[in-house]
Amino acid sequence: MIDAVYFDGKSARAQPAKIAIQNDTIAIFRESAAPLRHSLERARIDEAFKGAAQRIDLGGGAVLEVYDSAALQKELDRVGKKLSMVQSAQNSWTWVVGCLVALIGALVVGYLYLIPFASKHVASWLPESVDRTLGEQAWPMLEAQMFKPSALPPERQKALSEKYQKITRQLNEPPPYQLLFRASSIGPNAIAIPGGRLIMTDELVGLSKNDDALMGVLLHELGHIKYRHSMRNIIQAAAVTAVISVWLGDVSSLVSAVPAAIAGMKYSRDLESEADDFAIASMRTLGMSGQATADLFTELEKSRTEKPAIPKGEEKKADIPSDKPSRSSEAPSPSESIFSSHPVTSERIKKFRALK
Amino acid sequence: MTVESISVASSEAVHPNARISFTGSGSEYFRIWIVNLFLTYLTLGIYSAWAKVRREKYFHQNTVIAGHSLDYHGNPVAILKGRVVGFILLALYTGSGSVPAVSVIALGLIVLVMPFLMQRSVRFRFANSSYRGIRFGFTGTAKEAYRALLPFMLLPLAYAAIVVAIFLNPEAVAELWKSMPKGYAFAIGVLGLLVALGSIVFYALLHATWRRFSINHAHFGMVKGNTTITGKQYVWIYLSSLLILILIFGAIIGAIAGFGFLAIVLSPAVIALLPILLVSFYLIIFAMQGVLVARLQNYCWDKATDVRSPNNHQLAWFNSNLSITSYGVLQFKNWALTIVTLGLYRPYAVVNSAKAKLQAISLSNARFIDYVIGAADENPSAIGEEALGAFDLDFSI
Repeated sequence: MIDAVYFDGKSARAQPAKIAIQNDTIAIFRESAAPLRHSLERARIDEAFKGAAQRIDLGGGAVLEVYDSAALQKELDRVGKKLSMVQSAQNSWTWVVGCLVALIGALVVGYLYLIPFASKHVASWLPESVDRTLGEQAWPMLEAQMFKPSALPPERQKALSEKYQKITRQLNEPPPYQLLFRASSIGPNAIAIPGGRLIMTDELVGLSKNDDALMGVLLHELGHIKYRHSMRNIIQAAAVTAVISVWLGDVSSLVSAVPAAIAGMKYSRDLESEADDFAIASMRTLGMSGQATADLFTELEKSRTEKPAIPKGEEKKADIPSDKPSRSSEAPSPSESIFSSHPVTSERIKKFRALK
Repeated sequence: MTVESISVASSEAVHPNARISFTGSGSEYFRIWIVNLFLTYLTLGIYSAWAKVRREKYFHQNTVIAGHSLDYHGNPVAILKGRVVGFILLALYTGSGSVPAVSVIALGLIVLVMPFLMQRSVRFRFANSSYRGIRFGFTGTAKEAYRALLPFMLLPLAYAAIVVAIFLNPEAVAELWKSMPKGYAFAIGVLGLLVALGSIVFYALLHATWRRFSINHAHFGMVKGNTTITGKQYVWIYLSSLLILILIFGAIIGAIAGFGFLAIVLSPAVIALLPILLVSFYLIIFAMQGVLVARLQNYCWDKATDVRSPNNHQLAWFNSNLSITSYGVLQFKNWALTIVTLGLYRPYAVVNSAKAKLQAISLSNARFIDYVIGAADENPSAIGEEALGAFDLDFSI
C-alpha cells in the first residue's frame, strides 16, 4: 500500500488514497468511496523527481499523485515495469558524466571538423546564382557608403586591368570578374563582391611598389570567390549560432551573439588561409614570385599599426584583403591575437615569402 | 482493506493564503538538462521536443500551490511539428537575411501570421497545463488576437513597406546618401535615438497588451483570470529601468574616464583589464533585466491580477513581493557563473530564477480551489508555441 492523492479530473478536490499494484492493475482505495481499478498498461507513469509528487496519469483526466516514489518503484519492479533508458540515465551520475564528456567531445569534433566540412558541401550544392544575388543586392548601398570614384589616372587603371585579365586568362580561372578601382574610406584594401566585382582601393594601389604584389592580392580575392567563402561564412555562422542557442536555451540573441562571434573567428582565419593558398598556388602556376606580395603585406601591416584609427561610422578594420566588407565589430588590434579573424600576419607573409 | 489509516497531509483544506513554492534543485535539473542536450545534439534536434516535455514537466511538477503541484501534458509529436514549422520560418527569414528586399518581405509575412502564432502558443501552453487534475484553458480566439495586436502590426508593416520601396529603387537611395550634407549625420543620430526609445515603448505596450490578453482569456476549470494592467504602467517600468541602467553606465564610464586614464598613464598593462570591463557591462545589463522582470512581476501579480468566478465575482487575488535588488543581484551572479563555467551553470541559474520568482507569489483567499470543477477538454496543436520559440519571443506569463 502506497500513500497517494487521487484527482478524478472533474473536480479539483484532493481525495487521499492508498494504492496497490496488482499484476496488471492499479487499485485505488479512498475514504468513503468504492475502490477503483485502472489498467496498469494504459496508465502513464511519469518519471520521479526528487522533491515533487510523482504522477500517474490514469486517462480520462484522472490523476494520482504519489509521494513515496521509491515504494512505487519497488512495486513496479515487482510486476516487471522498468524505467525508460533516458530516466535511468538521468538518475545516475555515471551516465550524466558520460553524457557530459561525450557532449563536449561531440562539440569539439563538430566545431573543428563537422561544421566546416558540412558548410563546404552545402555551399557547393547551392547554385552560384544565390551568391550573385547576395552581391548584387548589397552592392549599391555598399558603393554609396564606402567608395568614391577613383582618382587613379585612367592609363594606370587600364594597365592593371590588362595585367589582371592576362593572368586570369592564363590561369583559365572563372568567373570573369570585373576589376573596379575606387577611392575609399576604408584605407588600403581589396574586396571581392560575389556576383562579379573585384574592388581595389586607390590607397592599396598607392601603397604597392610593384604590380605583381597587387596581382597576388587579387588572386587571394579570387580564392574567396572560387571557394564560395561568403556563402560558407553564412552557413557556418548559422550552424554555430544554432548549436549555441540549443546549449543556452531560449536566451536573448544578446547572449548567443558573443560566443558565436568568437567561435566564428577561427573559421574566418581558415578561409583567409585557404584564399592565400589559392593565391600562392596560382602564382606558382604563373611563374610569379611571392616576394612582392609579401612586401605589400608588410607595408599594410606597418600602415595598420601606424594609424590604427578607423574613420568613424565605418568600423571596418583597415586590413589585409577581406572578402566580406560588411563584417565589422572586430576591435582593430595592433597586435596579433587569437581574437583576430585573419591568420597571424607574419605567418601569412612567410608563406608568400617562401614562393621564390 | 481498511480505510481508517488513510491520512495524507495534503488532504487538509486549502489554507486561505496559499504560498507558491518551488521544490526543484539545480543539481537535479542539471542531470535532466545534460541528458536532454546530449540526445538533442545526437538526433540533430529531433529529440528537443521530448526534451522540452521533460523540462516543462520538471518545472510544472515542482511548482507547488496549496499542497499540490502543476502538471504539463504537451505532446512531444505535436511540439516537434511546431518546431519544424518554426524552423522553416526561421530558415526562410535568416536565409533571406542577406538579400534585404526578400528579408523584408519575409518580415512582413511573419508580422502577418504573428498574432495567429501567438494566440496558438498561449492556448497550447494553458491547455496543456493542469493542477489537481483540472486543465487550464484559453478562450482567446485568433480573431481577438488580431484585433488586440492590430496597432502593433501596422508599424512593422509600414517599416517593411518603406524598406521594400527603398530596395526596389537602390540607385535613388544611393544618390540620396551621396547628396546628403555632412551635418545630417547628427540629425540621423538623433533620429536613431528616437527610434530606439520608440521601439522600447512599442515593445512595452505590446508586452502589456499581450499579457492582458493572455490572463483575461485564461481559465482554470470554471474560474478565470482577470488583470487590469495598463500599457502606461509598463512603459513607465521599462523606461525608468532603462534610465537607471544608463545612469549606472554613465557613472562607470565617468569613473573610468577619470581614474582609468590615470591608471593607463601609470601602467599600460591596465588595458588587459578591458575584457573584464566589457563582461561586467554585460552582467550589469543582465542584472537590470532582472530588475525589470521583478518590477513587472510585482506590478502584474501584486497590483493588478485576481481570480474571478464565472459571473465575474472576485474569488481570490495574487500577491507578489519579489525583492527587486536581490533578484537583480541573482541575475548578475547567475550570468557571471554561467560565463565562467562556459554555460554549465545554466541549469542552476534557471532553477534559481524560477525559485525566486515563484516563491515570491502567493494566492489570498485560496479556499475556492477545492470547489473548482473542470471545463470541457481542448486539444490544440503546438504549432504556434514552437514557431514562436524559434523566433526567441517569449510573452509567457
